[in-house]
Amino acid sequence: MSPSPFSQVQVRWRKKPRWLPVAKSKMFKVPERKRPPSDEHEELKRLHNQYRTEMKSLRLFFSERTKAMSTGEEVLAEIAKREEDAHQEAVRINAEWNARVAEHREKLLAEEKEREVEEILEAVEKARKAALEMKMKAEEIVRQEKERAKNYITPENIDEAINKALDNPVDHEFAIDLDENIIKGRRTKPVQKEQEEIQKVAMSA
Amino acid sequence: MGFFPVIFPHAGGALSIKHAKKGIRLARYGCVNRPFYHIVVNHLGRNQHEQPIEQLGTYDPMPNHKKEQLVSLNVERIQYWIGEGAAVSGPCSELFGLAGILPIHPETYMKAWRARKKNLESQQVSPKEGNAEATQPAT
Repeated sequence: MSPSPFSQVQVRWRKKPRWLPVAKSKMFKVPERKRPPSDEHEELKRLHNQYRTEMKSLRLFFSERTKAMSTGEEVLAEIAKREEDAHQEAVRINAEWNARVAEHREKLLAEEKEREVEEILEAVEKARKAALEMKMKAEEIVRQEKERAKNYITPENIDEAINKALDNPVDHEFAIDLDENIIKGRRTKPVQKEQEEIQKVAMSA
Repeated sequence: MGFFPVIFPHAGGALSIKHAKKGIRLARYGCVNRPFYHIVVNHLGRNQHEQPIEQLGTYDPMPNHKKEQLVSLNVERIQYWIGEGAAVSGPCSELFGLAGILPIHPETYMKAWRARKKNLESQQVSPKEGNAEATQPAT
């Protein structure tokens, strides 16, 4: 019989609902209470009492031992000594390390300085060479100018230069005909000599 | 364990709250039909699968091919935690008693004499003779 028309039938975790009464067959059944044998019970009681006492003393012993590890002058002194020793060891290792690094650094710095000196010397040499070159160039320019100064027109020889220019008029203008003949001069008449030149040009062309 | 599993070092590391009740007990870390226990110290209100304050050992209850049940214990730390006032659970105190850290637990004696009695009874049944002094508890 299902406990209620609405309840689902559960296969697992089946339990009698709270509202169902005791089964008729179990109505007047009084289960017999199981008791351990009295001698065993007495023995267990004794053993448990003994165990508890022993545990109490053991617990006290362990806690005292733990306390003794961190208290007391001697223990504290020993701990301090151990720490001091460790510190000294650390300092020693640090000093050793520093010395090694310092040696390395000195070598590096010396090398660097040497390299720097070399670089500076090179730069100085280069600058000296450049200055020398500049000086040579300037001297060359001055020399050229001096040479050119011989042909300058000055107030002393200006009349002579004017006369010379008037005596030799230069006509730079020219014309080219379809036969590639160069005819120099614009207003001047071509001279016989020039005509010969024209012939030459025509021949070479 | 919650819905999202929390990953933590099982060797311990949880915060130990001062004056909170603590206990040394087993935490089951096996799988189905293969029990394996960590012996841990943790607060008494906490779940066995929360991160322990410290792991003190392991216990493998299944006999191996040499019929041995293997137990490993960190004796120094167990003694420390007992001194700190941690309660020791029943199975753990039995293990410690057999290991020699603590006195033998009464439960161990009880199991022993019951097994002895059963053994004697079975011997009596098979050859149908023997003495009836097995009922006496012997410590």
